[in-house]
Amino acid sequence: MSHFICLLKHELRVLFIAPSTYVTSVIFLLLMGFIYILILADFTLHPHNNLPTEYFFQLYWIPVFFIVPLLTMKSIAEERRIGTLETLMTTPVTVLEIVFSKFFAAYLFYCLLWMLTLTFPLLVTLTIGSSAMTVKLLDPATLLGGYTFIAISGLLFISIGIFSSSLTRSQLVAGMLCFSILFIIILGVPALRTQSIGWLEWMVGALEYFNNFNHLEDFSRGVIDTRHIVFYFSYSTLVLGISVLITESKV
Amino acid sequence: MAVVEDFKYVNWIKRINQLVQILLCISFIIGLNYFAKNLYWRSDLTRDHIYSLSPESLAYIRQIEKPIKIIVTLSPDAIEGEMEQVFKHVRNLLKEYEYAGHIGGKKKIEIEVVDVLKERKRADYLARTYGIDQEDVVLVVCEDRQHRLIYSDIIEMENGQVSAFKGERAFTSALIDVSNTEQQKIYFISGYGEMHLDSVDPLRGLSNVAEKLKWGNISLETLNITIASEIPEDADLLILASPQGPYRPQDVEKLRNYLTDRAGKLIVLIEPAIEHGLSDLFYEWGIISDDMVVLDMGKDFQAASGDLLIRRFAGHPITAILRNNPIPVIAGLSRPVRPNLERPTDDRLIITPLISSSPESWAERSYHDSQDLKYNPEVDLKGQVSLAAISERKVSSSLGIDVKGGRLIVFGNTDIISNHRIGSIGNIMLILNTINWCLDREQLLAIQPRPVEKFHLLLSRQELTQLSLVLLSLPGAVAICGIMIYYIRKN
Repeated sequence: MSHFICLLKHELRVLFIAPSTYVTSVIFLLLMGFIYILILADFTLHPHNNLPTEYFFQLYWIPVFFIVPLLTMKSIAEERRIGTLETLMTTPVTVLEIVFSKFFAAYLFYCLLWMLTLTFPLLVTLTIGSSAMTVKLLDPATLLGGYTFIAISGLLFISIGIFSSSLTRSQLVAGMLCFSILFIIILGVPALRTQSIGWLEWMVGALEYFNNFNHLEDFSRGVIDTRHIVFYFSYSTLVLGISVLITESKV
Repeated sequence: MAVVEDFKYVNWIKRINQLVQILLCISFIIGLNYFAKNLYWRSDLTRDHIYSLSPESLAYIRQIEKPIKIIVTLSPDAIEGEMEQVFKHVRNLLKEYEYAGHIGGKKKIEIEVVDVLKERKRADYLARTYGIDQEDVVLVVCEDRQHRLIYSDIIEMENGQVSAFKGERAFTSALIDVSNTEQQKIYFISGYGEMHLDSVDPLRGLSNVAEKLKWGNISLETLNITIASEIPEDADLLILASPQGPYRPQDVEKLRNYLTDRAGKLIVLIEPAIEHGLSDLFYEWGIISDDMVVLDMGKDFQAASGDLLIRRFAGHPITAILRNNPIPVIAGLSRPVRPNLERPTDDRLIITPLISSSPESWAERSYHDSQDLKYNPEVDLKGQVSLAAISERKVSSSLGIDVKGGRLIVFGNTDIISNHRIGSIGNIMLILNTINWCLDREQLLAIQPRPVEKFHLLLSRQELTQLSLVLLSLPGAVAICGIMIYYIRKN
């Protein structure tokens, strides 16, 4: 455990002193701020049935596509490319500790970035100062549900990034692979479900179950369902487990 | 050489070992998810638990003994805008029903959403098994009993907009309905050439309305009143559609006894120019139907075919949806049916005109003479003319509580219920709402519809620009941090 903590601290330190991390953060916050303003602008044009926060979380996939590959593509692929993974393995740390430290470092940073977006509704309500708007924009149920979804789904997305990084020595290939898998999981599954699926009729239930937007729907309304939590926890554990096995076999 | 082969062998074993580990992990995860899918917990974090079922619904669900299946054939891709919202509402509400239906490790309520446009095999199966031949239907099935719900059962509309969701009331009513082994029964009276339940004739047949009533888990039967000694005990409602001759007094007496002594419910549809023999009964219930024909010259009240377009509705639960949207009812020749003002006042009778023609219309007494069709103030009735009326009798109990004491609804038109008219949305809503109101369906539940809340931001362009600049401060602060760290590391 002490090895894991030590490795995690190291990974976090590396993340926080790397300029690329700040570039990624600025791009992420600019993009999310732009999306938030667009949503608010749309709400000024015509009334909506849902709260702005719900629409904000429904677009979670846009930053996921670039932020997750950027955070994870380097993790194992770079260590293998420059040969430090083998050196690390000569110390009394296990592959499990290495993979999990890299995973948790990226995951904590991912959550931190998303937590920064919580300041958007806070800044808006502080600037405008309308009590009616405060109630709607800072609705605790939708915020808590939405950020819970981000935190839970982030487990799977980051583990996919680590998995991609464990497969190759090239950062670029790892990043592209991660993007492709995320694209298939987030947009491909619902697209497959909504397109003509005559020959896929037998797996409609499975497609529904793997549809991330179905999981999001409950969370963004402020409804917590243990099925979604089990789904993300279990599949992220599976992907991380496979990553450990792959990393172990390639050292 | 043997050493190399040993290494190869060990590598193979290692790889197989890893593969087995992965396969075991996958099967464990699938098993775990299957277990979690069937044994789960939900929590509504909203302040007023707006996404949770009411205690009344939960109490009913706990009493369910036989498993119930709810099949939704709403097509999610074919709908957009308001209807997409309705679909989401239905789906989310049904998740709560499914969760509430997990009692003692058993699944009492099973939900299935079928995209009938794409899942063809499943759609064919549903068509064969339950006779579903359309999308946008919610079917509640328990054993051989089924109850169908359509959009108008789930939402309340006002001026073409969804104003409230009443899905919970509709679903809970349907659950109670199908789980109850005793069906409500409607008798269609015959004996005087009335329209027939099984007839597919476009003008005189009622097969279409009969099919829709069966979807609502209502039992239908024909009753020849000239043969029956009295109205059967199990009659929850009588429908008398278009008699072609006057009722004999002894048959009228049977109806009177049913209405008065047994607090029965009777819907009568009569057409102009045909003597029906029910005037005395109507008089007792405070209704009069003059021997006239309603003529409407209002531009918006005449269909291209010359039929009457009824657009004026009373503020009654039966016609509320038609009035709020507004949806017209198409009718052919009609006679006036109105409250009888000459009758002595009876506080126990509540008489309401239900639908009426336009202010430019009148009821023509000398309709036999087609050359003289103009309004005569001395003998004709000036528009707007009531075309249907409801008479409801309240009976006071010894405790001073008003108890329902019978209902009579008279329509001055018969073809609104016929096969060729019932396809019109206004007509089917009017007829089904009237029948549901008579049978007290849904009225028993005190579950209130959930109003649709709309959120509109009132921000000027200047305020939006100001907000954009405020939100820019966050990435700006992060960028400054990054630059500082870069320079610290560099130095």
